[in-house]
Amino acid sequence: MPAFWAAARAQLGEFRRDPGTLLMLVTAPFFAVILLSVTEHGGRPDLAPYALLAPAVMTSIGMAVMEAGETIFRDRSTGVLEALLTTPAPLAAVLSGRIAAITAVSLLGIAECWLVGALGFGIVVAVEHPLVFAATLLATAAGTAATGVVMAAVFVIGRNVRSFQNSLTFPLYLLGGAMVPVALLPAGFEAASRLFFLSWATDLLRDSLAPGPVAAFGPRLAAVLGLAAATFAAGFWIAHRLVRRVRRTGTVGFA
Amino acid sequence: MNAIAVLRQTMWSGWTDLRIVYTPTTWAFGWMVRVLCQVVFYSMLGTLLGDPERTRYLLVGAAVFIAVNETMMASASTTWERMSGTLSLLAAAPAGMVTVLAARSWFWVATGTLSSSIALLALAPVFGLGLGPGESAAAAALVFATALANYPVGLCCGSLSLRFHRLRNVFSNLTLLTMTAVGGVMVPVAFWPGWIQWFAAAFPAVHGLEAVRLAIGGGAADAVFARLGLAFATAAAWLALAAASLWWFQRDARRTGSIDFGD
Repeated sequence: MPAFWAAARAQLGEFRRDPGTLLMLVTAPFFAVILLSVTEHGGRPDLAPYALLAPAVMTSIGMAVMEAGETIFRDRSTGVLEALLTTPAPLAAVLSGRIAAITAVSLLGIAECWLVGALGFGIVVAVEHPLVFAATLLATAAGTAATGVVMAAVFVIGRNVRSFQNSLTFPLYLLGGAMVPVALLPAGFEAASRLFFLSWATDLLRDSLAPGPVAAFGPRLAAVLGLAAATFAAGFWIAHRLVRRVRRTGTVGFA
Repeated sequence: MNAIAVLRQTMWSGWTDLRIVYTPTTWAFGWMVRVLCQVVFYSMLGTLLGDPERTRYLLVGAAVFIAVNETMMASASTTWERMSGTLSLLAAAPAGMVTVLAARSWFWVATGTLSSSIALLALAPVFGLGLGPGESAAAAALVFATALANYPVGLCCGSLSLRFHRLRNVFSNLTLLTMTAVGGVMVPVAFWPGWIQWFAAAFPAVHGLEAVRLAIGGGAADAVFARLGLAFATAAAWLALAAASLWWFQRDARRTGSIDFGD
């Protein structure tokens, strides 16, 4: 636990030192404008909550994936990664701390996007089911952090996976139903997306903004939490395996 | 003659850079997967709205803007000279750094044209956009023109990135997203207030995309060429701005001796 908090503090310091790491929070309002302009121009004000929720979700998951990768690469290039692996603190705890901080900061995107709607377009999105929204948001944050841990763990293996880091965002947005519900995806893709916590989370978040009752809240929240827990477990397992491997091969700094 | 030699070396250096950025595998299974997902992501907005016409509009906009996206990466790659330690050597060389920095990122025009054209032509049938061989060829050629015309915009961001190294991705992303928002990519430019429409007209890619839309929508050839003319006219202004900015960076950096301490 001390490693978790130390890592979280280190990450917050990183944000302060290098504002470039907050890029996704800068781009979130632009995505909100882009998506909202499409629904407004299409004459569908009922889809405004979709258009404002999507960039917030994209920011959160995008930051987790991108910054998780960056963290490992920065640590590797500054020699911190090697030092980390010699300490008794498990790498997964350190990664979780850093990514928890990233995810917490990324939630600012929700406020940004809401403000774009309210100030830029005069569209005030109301949260019709605040409790559902809050509970789902917490579960989503957990799942997002878990996804970040998996990514960071994979990046431990070496530099050559870095070129994939940039490529992950849009596939995750699509499979997570960030803007368009996965029910509209072709059947095969929809089935695959159901293994990703975000597809359940975004459906539930959208329902929490709509006036109608939220159907099957419990089971759907359980799906988000269950998949988030499974993702965490996978992240810890991968971190454990890969750390053992790079220790054995001695390629922490050179991989 | 000297300028040609410098250009040749620069182009070669760019080519080797490209081979470091992508291997055929990471390009196909990393970058192209993202490109296709990105274009599908935006096209699906049309599906959500239940409007096939809008779906096709979004598809063309999102696909063509992949080329714009990639040429904006010139913003980051302009600073690679700094990272590899060659910037100070360039500053000392009698050939100067402006030509080298302006030409070193040419490869983004090539890869941008390729990935954008593949996305457009591969996804067109999926979203019900029928393109004949002639239209496909015209679209690919105009995507190349759009990438080429947008390259100086990326260079301008690159010249800023040389000064503010840590913000290299911020400049390019903000410019790209501004163009995406107001440039007729997702919704027609006419959706926005008049002053924004004028602002959008300053970007070459906006005219390039319009030329693609005209060409595949059966527009008259002279209308397409008129748009292309606007794209290259604005591109020339951006190129002049980029060259001036790079020249200014060179002069300033030499005068203050800050070239390797700019961070």
